[in-house]
Amino acid sequence: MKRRCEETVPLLGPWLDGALADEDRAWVEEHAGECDPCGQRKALLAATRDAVRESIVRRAASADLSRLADAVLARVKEDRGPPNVVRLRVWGAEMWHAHRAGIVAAGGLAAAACLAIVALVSPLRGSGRSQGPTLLADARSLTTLEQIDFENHAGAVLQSGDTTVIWIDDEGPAVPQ
Amino acid sequence: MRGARRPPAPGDDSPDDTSLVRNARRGDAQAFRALVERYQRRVYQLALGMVRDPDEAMDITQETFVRVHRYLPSFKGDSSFFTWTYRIATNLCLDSARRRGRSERVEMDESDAEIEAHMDPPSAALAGPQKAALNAELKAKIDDALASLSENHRAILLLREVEGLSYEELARALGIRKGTVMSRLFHARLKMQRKLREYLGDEVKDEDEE
Repeated sequence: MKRRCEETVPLLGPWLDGALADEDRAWVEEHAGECDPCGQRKALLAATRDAVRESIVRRAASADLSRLADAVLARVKEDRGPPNVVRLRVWGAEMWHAHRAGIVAAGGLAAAACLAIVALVSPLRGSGRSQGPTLLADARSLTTLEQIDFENHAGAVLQSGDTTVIWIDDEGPAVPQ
Repeated sequence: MRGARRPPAPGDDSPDDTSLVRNARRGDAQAFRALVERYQRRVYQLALGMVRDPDEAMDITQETFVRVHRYLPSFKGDSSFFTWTYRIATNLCLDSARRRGRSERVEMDESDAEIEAHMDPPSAALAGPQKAALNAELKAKIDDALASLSENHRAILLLREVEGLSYEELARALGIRKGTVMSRLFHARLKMQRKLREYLGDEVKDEDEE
């Protein structure tokens, strides 16, 4: 076999299939046009392809497929479908593709809301203490309960902010501990 | 190159695959039925060529579409619907062959010398190959030749020669690289030619004649 033929033989199939790059097709075509054996090789490839195609298509054409779709649909009704993991993945992917913008926007809003809440309740907010819950803590820390001896009566004074509550025990000698 | 994707012809108002797939995914049974009816013959052709038994080919065709329905939600549309369907069908054919004990024949790449020998050109007696193809003896020979191929060689040959898949579609349908497509197809064709040469060409020219 000539060197050019050796190079041509593996490319005859792709040439026949229309899968050769333009630059290869040009020289393969030229060579096969001039070289009788390579021209015949190409013809044999085409003849084999046509013979196989005709044989299979003809055999398949005689098959009765009229009830195949019904049979498939009947089986499909009984089919449990893909595993849940596959279903979930597919659902997630579809949701993402269909509502990508909405999901991103909602996520952003949720993140912003979380940040806002953290900022509001954080004790480090601003230069010192925050106001809301910290005020309650402050109030608690300013509340005092003092046991008082009213001589004949035991008693106590509760001081909380601006409020003062005084207990006097008419009977007992002292404030219950 | 003849591709597997065949949109409706001009003037044909039947929906294309994309809209049928979309509707079938939403549970539209009629859309799914339309897909089955559109491609059942071609899937059957592939299965028949692969397993060579009409009943088994019918079972594989049916199973192919059941699986298509089952996994339709995961079809991403990276390839055509039919290439994707072919991949399912091909895998089922290969599984079936293995179950029946027709285990994969070892695919040995032929040496250059063997390739050269097989690529001996036929004589000019190729005239009228179509006429020869009608010959009953040739049909039997084609069947034998296909049967002698490994499952992988048979699959790629049928997908290319009968179904006309492009090399890219073959790569997707068979899950192999494009380079492997070209190599595997080349060897599959060589083997077929070796079997069919005497029916498609009268005699073989001597290499030295060149």
